[in-house]
Amino acid sequence: MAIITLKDVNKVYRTKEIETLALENVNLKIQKGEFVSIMGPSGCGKSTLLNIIGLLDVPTSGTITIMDDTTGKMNDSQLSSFRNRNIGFVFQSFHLIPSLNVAENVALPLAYRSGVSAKERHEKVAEVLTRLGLSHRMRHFPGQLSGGQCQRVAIARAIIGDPQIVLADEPTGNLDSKMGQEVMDILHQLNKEDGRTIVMVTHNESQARMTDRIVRFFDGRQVE
Amino acid sequence: MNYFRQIYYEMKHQKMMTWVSISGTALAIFLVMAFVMVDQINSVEVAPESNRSRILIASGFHVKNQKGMDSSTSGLNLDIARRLYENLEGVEVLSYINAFNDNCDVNLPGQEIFTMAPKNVDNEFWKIYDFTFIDGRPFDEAEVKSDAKLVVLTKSAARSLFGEEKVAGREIEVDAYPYRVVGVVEDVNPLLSSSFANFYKLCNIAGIKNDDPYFGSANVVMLLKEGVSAESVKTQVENRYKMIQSEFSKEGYEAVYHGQPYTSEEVAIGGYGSNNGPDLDSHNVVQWIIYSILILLPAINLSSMTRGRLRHRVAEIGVRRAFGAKRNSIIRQILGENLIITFFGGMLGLLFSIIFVWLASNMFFSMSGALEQSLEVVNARPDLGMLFRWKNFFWALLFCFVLNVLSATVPAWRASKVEPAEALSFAR
Ligand SMILES: Nc1ncnc2c1ncn2[C@@H]1O[C@H](COP(=O)(O)OP(=O)(O)O)[C@@H](O)[C@H]1O
Ligand SMILES: [Mg+2]
Repeated sequence: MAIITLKDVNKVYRTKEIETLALENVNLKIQKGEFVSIMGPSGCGKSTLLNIIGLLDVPTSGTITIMDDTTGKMNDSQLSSFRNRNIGFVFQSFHLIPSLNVAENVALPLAYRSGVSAKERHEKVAEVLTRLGLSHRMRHFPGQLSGGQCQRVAIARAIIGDPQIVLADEPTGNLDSKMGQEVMDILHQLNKEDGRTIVMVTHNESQARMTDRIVRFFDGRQVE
Repeated sequence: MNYFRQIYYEMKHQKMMTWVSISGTALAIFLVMAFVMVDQINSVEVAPESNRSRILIASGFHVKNQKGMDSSTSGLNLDIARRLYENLEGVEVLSYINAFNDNCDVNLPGQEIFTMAPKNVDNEFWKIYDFTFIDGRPFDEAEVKSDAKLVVLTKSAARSLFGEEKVAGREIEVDAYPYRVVGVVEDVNPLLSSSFANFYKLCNIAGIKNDDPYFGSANVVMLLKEGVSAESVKTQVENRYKMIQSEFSKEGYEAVYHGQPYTSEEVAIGGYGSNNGPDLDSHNVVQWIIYSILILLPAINLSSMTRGRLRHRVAEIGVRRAFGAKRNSIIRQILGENLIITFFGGMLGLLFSIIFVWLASNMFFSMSGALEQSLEVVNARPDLGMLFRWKNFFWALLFCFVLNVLSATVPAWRASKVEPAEALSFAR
């Protein structure tokens, strides 16, 4: 069963001078529980694709169906709560909020979910941080952590709301190979143990080969 | 809680911009609160004018020749004062003061002469104002009836004359006549002009000057009963004006009503002594125009500061949006955080304005010439207690709130409108 379906998706960026066709006629189905790698040269539209799947951006044309919901007609507030419940993000540059400590960064998705008490939030934060081996870093600030630790905090944040889908854009891009391997192990764990669907952009062939499927892009078009 | 975190973080990492925002807010609140306090000093309720909101004062009378242009306002004739103001419904106490208040020479027999500002008052006066007696007592009814030569001194007058405060029963000379001291009271701040004097001289109404059929030197002060509105008393007085008008018409004159008796605010904005009454409404309109300008101009500047601070946080806003923040929660957050800065700056501004109004009081408050020449203790400076008021605190909070809404709403709204994907692509 497909959890993510892209149909005839085009994305055009228009600036004053130029028009960039970032995605051209993309048709893609991702199955529930699948771990998919997206590969391709820089500028070929990988991040654009991930943003569109993650409902952070809208396609110029085409439809996106996630978990049987066609997202095209949702308003901003509906998109926000859909993301909050169903999608977790991991970014290359971590994107932790520097003014918040680890626990507060991790709790972020729950802060935007109604009906979650402060107590539940604390328990959930402790639970995911323990799982990721960071429970002793709760009161630290992002500036006091290594890159690998930051990315683990970011992963904790991505899964605290228990989303079915995790989108990771070059999650190991800023890490050395040892830390990168740690992060990959965690992602595989999320996939195998929790059954989460993972879509990951990567430049690393060997990482990609460990996943269920590789989708290759060139110049906005899916080539494989 | 996290709002405070954010501000703390910005103070550390965007020192310059945060402090400019805070000082800008402080300056704005400082200016507007200085204006508010100077205006409000006339309605502050402190001893001995703790009942200010219930006190009404009448002192002037305006007569116009119905044919010609001849029109004049002067002090109240005692007989007219009694017909206009005695036995009004809702009035608890009525006191007559002789407005003929020239400074007096005061001394102990054969000793140094001091120039002092008197107030000529009856026994009722002491029921309206809550003076604190250090020694002795006020005048009683029998003493006023018999027109005894008595005074109540202020503490500093007693000190100047006797070198001590407990001097009830002692003798002094006022303009070379012998008087006896019956009481000593705490000093009154000269800004409380309807109760201030260096000393209080017993005044029988027979002593009020009435050398003219219309005018004289009677001042009437009344204390309203609890819960009685000034308006209801004014309406009664207006009707009494209509009643005396028939006599005035026979002689070709008109007694013009200007909304007497006046509240402290009305007395303070003046208009008595001129042919027009005080116009509190237009005074308030002018005040509010001034306040609006003093808030609006800094709000425009602060708004660009807010935008500048937010520019560093585009990616963060993108992250929050990605994880489910709705547009309005972003706006709420930014307004909330900004409110902390505004309050912080605002309280600094309020503190500065209190200190400034206190220190530079002679810029704002002036005494009548006669008072200025009286005893050296006279200084038109509000007591700090007249400035540290809950009311001022609430005004400052209100202005902070408005300033915050004006300076942060537009930047917050813009920040919330950036598409999440675009916001996230912002490198930090
Ligand atoms: N906001 C934008 N405005 C204009 N052009 C953009 C924008 N974002 C991406 N692009 C362009 O779209 C193409 C795809 O970009 P992107 O998806 O970031 O590539 P990748 O992630 O594969 O490196 C590139 O040519 C890029 O310059
Ligand atoms: Mg990219």
